[in-house]
Amino acid sequence: MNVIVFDGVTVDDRLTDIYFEVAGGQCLAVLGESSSAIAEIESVLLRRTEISAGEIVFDGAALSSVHGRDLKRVLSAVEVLKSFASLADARQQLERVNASASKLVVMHEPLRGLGAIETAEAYVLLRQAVTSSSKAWLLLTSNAMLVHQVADRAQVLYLDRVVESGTAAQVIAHAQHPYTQALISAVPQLDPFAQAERTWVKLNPASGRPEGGCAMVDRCPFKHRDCAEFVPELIRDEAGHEVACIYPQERKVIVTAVRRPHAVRPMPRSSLLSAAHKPDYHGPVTGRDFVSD
Amino acid sequence: MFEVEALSVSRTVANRQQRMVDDLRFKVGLGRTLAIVGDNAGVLSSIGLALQGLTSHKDDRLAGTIKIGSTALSIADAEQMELRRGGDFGFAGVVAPKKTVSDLLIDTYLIEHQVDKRIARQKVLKILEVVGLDNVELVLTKQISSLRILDQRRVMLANAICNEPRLLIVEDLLSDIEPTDVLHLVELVASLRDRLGCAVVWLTQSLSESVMYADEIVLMHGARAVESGSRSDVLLRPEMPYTVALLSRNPSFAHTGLPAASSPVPPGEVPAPSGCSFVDSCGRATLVERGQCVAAVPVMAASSIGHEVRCHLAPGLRVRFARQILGGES
Repeated sequence: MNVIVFDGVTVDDRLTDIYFEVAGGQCLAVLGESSSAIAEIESVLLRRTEISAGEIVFDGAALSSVHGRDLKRVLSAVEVLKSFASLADARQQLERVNASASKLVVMHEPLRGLGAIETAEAYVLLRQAVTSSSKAWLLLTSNAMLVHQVADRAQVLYLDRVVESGTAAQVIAHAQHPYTQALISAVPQLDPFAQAERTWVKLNPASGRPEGGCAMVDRCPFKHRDCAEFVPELIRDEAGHEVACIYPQERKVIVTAVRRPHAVRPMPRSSLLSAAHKPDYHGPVTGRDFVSD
Repeated sequence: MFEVEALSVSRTVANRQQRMVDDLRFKVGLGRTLAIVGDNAGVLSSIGLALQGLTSHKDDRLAGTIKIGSTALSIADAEQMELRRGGDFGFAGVVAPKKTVSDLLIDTYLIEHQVDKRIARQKVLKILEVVGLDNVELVLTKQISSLRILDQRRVMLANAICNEPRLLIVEDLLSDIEPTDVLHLVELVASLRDRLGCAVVWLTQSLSESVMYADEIVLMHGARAVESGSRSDVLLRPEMPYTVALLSRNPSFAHTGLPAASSPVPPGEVPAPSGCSFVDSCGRATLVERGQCVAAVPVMAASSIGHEVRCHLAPGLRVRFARQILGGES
């Protein structure tokens, strides 16, 4: 049974038409940067922000019709995890949550405070906590590796809208939207040989929201002239994978090659960056030279 | 070419001396990027400061030499290092957040240039454009902490390149950066390096992040370097059991979870122990006389050209062990 349902939730122009449902024992990740509305999802869920359209159903109750003391009682079954300060803190918080009677666990960037080695261990802790529990888990993050490691389903949020949605495997391993691909490109991945075969999707720096057309049109490296005219809608394929892009395309953004240590293979001498980035590298940052007069 | 030899930072804590950095050495050529990957933030920032002849505590003691071309400098020689700080070393690390951009950059620019403040201002505006900022006149008037994080990091880089350094030291540049901005910063550093023709030493806690920019990698465990070499030496032909353990625990998009067989990798303790710093978790220490791994610090020794490993095990055993854990062709 679904523990939490977002049914077309809209908050002015900050959150538009969000649909998802999370059942007990499942983890849904909402993947997006801080410029997107992922924080807004937490705050509408906890009724810190009122929604302007749609409905949130938690544990069978429509949240908009619950008020005052009743609301407090209903929301007491929602547990909000803080960012972990250390692995020990992660274990402690997860144990406490597991023992509590809460039905929904919300995590917002849980691993932000951890170092690289601890982060790897924390992926495992979180995955174990999710698979061994009957609670619903809502994970809000900008880390695509965390989504891959922990979530069952994923939605990608760009500004106020969902641009890609499906199982975590569909959204990460078969990402089709350039924004999802850019988020994956930013995750450090180890195999230096596979790096050269990888497509680096780099968006232009954030700019204001364009008038009409796709919200990402000024930033997208693959934009087509139609993109400035039509707002892309979420289109669902037969496997249930949804993408909001006029020209969706899978690109090789992840490194899946098995590392082969000690194999002697020639390595291009030039730096990986200059090799892999040349196609979309538009020369130095500005044409002007500042070196002496 | 920059060559650092026997760099050590000692700190006195409760009347006992401990090494924050123990016997670090590396070379980095102009136009190249070297990543120093450490598991301890205090150790990394000590290295960043020591490379400029500075310390974070007033009681810290520096030792070692830095060779710039054919000139050798003693890192402990505060006067000499201070003279070099302007033109030879540029440091992109934490800056005072309360300062305005113009105070920070104009002051830095005037260290090396005897010019009128107005001219300095014009130069600084150009430098802000070089690091990719828009509306530079406006940015110049702002308090650093009021800028978004990407722009704060750009200002950090601008401050570091003000005096056209020959060595650019970059510390922890990518933490808290939005994912879609990561590649911009990586490319920006590469383009600044190529434009200035300087060398880059990039201090980071993430081995996998270093793949994005490093030509060479020095991997530290606690206060000591344990393996160093080209990026492919360290990542594809690792030998030190710590490197192997770290690589085997690396999360990947190819699968979920971490291999159950390998044990967690404990972070290195800051005080450099009298034996190998990885001895308790190595699992191979019984192969050599255990006494040796506990009693003596292994030396950093060449395993092939440019590839150095700090381990008592025989090279053949190290390679076999790495293959056992990571798999691979023989």
